[in-house]
Amino acid sequence: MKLKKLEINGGIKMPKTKLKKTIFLGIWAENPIYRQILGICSALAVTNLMKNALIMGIGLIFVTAFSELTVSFIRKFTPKHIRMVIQVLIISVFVIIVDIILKAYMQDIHKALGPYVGLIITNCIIMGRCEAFAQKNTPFISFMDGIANGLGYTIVLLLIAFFRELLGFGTIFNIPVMGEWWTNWTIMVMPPGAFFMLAILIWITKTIQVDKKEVKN
Amino acid sequence: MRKSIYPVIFIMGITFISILMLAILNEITKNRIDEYREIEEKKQILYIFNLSNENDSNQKIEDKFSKYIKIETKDNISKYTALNNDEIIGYGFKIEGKGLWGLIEGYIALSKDYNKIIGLTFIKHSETPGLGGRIDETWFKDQFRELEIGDNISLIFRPREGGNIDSISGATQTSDKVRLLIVNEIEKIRDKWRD
Repeated sequence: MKLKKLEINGGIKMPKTKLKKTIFLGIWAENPIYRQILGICSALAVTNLMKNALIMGIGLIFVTAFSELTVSFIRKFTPKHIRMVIQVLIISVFVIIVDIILKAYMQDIHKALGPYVGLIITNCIIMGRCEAFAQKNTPFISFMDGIANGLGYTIVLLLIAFFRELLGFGTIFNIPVMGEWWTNWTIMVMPPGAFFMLAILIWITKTIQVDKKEVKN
Repeated sequence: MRKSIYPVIFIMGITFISILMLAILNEITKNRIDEYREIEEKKQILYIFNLSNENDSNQKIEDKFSKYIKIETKDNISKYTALNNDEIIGYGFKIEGKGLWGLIEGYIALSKDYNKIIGLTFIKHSETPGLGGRIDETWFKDQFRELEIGDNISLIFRPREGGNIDSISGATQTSDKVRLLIVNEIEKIRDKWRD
């Protein structure tokens, strides 16, 4: 099992300490989007502008990290058979906090993200990490796992949004960069563009990460 | 016994703490959000008369609002009269009605003789994002700019004969409901305000 883990990740060695390992797994080796295929819905929906993707990512980092922290803190007192209810409750609280803060201090972004803020609740990454990681680990490392997974998600979102916005609008963070001669690819800002970009990204990362030996097995 | 009561107490405790936190946060930010809502409302009213600019600062919106708009209230219903140097541009009203999933609220501006829509906007709706939710996109609202509707309120979706507006593909229901809402509200407005 250990040997096989080393073969994945394109020959990059797994870090030794638990903290580094958690961060490494969350951002690169077990990235929620292209390895765990979680949180795809929002990754497709908010990536036509980099600004939206960034705010969504920051929101998710916040919610995942603090949800995992809280779940981990109370994991020993939580009756096992109602732990999922508790997790959903905790996640919703943090999502509502994000929603209120955006509404009060960043109205433009709140308007642009609209219903997607509320939909952070249903993002599988948060629940998945709470159940798979925070339920079994200490608060600090759970918090870091939330940050790492959130970062992994944000980086992927920004990457997809970069190409979609560049090709679809000719801009980056709303700043025009392509000049007059550029014809916008309307398909990139519409849903199909997101599917194409995500598929290409999963393809590329799989090719880099998976060693030939694993394919043989 | 104890086994079945503990989870209940636990979840009640967690819920109580959560609600307390959210209530406090809500109380702190309430003023800011209300202030913003007021500005947003003024911006929308200016928008229906085509008097606003996307990049107007809050101060500018306030200034424009007090310069152009006069509010008149009858039976708790407000009429916003837009004036340009004492010449009446038109009248604005709040409209609301059923959408596909919930209440749709907005503002409409009508010309002096109530036979022309000057502008239309929606401030609240719960239509499907990306489909019916597109009613608050500019292209949809812009169709109603300076739209002659005549005495019989003709709002017809293309490509039907005499069509003057487009519906949203994939959101037939919402489009129909919005059309109905506008017609109903204009009738009500005419009954109430037209002499």
